[in-house]
Amino acid sequence: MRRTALKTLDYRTVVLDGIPYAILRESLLQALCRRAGVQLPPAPTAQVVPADPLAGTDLDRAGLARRLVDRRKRAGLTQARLARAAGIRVETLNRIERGRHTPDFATVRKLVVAMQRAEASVRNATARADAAAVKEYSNANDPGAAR
Amino acid sequence: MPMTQEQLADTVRRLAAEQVSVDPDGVTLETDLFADLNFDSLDVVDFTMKLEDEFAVTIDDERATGVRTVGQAVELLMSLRR
Repeated sequence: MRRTALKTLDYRTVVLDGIPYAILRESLLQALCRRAGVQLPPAPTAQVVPADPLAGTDLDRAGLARRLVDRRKRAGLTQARLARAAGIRVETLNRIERGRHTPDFATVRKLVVAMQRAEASVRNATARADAAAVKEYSNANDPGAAR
Repeated sequence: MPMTQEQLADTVRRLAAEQVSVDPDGVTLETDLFADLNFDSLDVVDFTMKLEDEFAVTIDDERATGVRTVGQAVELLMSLRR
């Protein structure tokens, strides 16, 4: 995969069966389409993940740990930052994420609240970055529009 | 107009089903969140927080921990709305 920067529009390319495809952030594609007045067909719905047969049992600790790690990463948080934001000890979070400790409801709630806050700020930052990229790209290609 | 118990139960069934991406038609008041829907502790917390948002109530951790079935969640919400 090759990282390409066109003006300020960031995307990557990948070649499948000899055909190059561009990969760009979905929210940026949507912002560009809105700017161009193009309607995007609805994206294919996300694949439904079958329920984990071990969920709700003692064996579920590893599954919970995996889901927490995924969610923390999506929120763009390190263990230390999440632990601090949730008000729990980083050692405790580390043990939870390694499946060594089963957190109680109150602890999971603190983690979820902290991750939701972080996810919201990532979303806001992404929306601002998309808007800025679309504006700069438009201005670069249509200098008249900048005035 | 306040929500009837039946409407409240429908919303709780829908939210429980959505949490684990299953068809709400298969979820009844007797459905066990853990045994039937395979909820883990992250699902329980997400589900509880969605109920709080949906019904504008605060569910304390201890009471949330006691909920095992959809029906128990409905009873808990009814008691909080009184």
